[in-house]
Amino acid sequence: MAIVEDINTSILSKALDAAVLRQQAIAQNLANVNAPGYRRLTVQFEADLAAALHGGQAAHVGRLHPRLVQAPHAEGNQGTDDELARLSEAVLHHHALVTVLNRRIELIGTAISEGKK
Amino acid sequence: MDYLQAFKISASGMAIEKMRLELTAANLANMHSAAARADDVYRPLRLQQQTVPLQFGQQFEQMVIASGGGSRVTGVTPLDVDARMVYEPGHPYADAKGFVAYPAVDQTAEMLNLNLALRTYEANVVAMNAAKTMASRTLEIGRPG
Repeated sequence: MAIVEDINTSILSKALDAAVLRQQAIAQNLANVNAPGYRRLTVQFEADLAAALHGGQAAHVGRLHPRLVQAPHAEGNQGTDDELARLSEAVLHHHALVTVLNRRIELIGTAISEGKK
Repeated sequence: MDYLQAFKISASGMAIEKMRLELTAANLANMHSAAARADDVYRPLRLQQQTVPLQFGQQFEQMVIASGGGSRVTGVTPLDVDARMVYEPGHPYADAKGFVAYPAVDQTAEMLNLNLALRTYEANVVAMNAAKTMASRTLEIGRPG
């Protein structure tokens, strides 16, 4: 049945993974703010997803995974505010994804209960 | 998703900043402790930390999990600075020329360190709270209403 196992639910769960991993990367950056020579980490996923979708490779979406990208140079302890801004962004993004996923689950529930009537 | 990892990373960051704060407190507490010989005088302590690399691995082909991460203390070393010599002829520790050796604690640098440690600690607390919020929201998936 298409409504349960469609590609959107799988993308949503991957995007949730990406949001959680992004939070962990930011936690790592914040724990090492004062470590000399530390190169900050970012998580790349959305750009890969967009590239796969626009490139007409929707079949490849299932094999996409969030990945860690390390900055090429150490920047010193400049980025605390930037990290905190990106942290709130990750938390809000995660909240939005949970909401959308819940709507989809509700939809499946409606489909099941309407069938019973 | 393993949220324990996120808590561990932030906890290690908090522990490091707490230790930095303790060292600053020790440096300030010993600011005026004179010694009989210039070589014996207290030298301000500094913290050395090292990054524990964060890695993403895969489990069951679909799940991506994080491992490692955080920061750890590799050592506490005294700064290589000369004692601050103050002319106090009447002092019991005064040398032949009447100078007393005091620790070369830089109060401005210590206050800066203190603030830096405090703010970084707060940032780590924020990151941990974010992990907590995300974990509790994940529990809401599939809950009606």
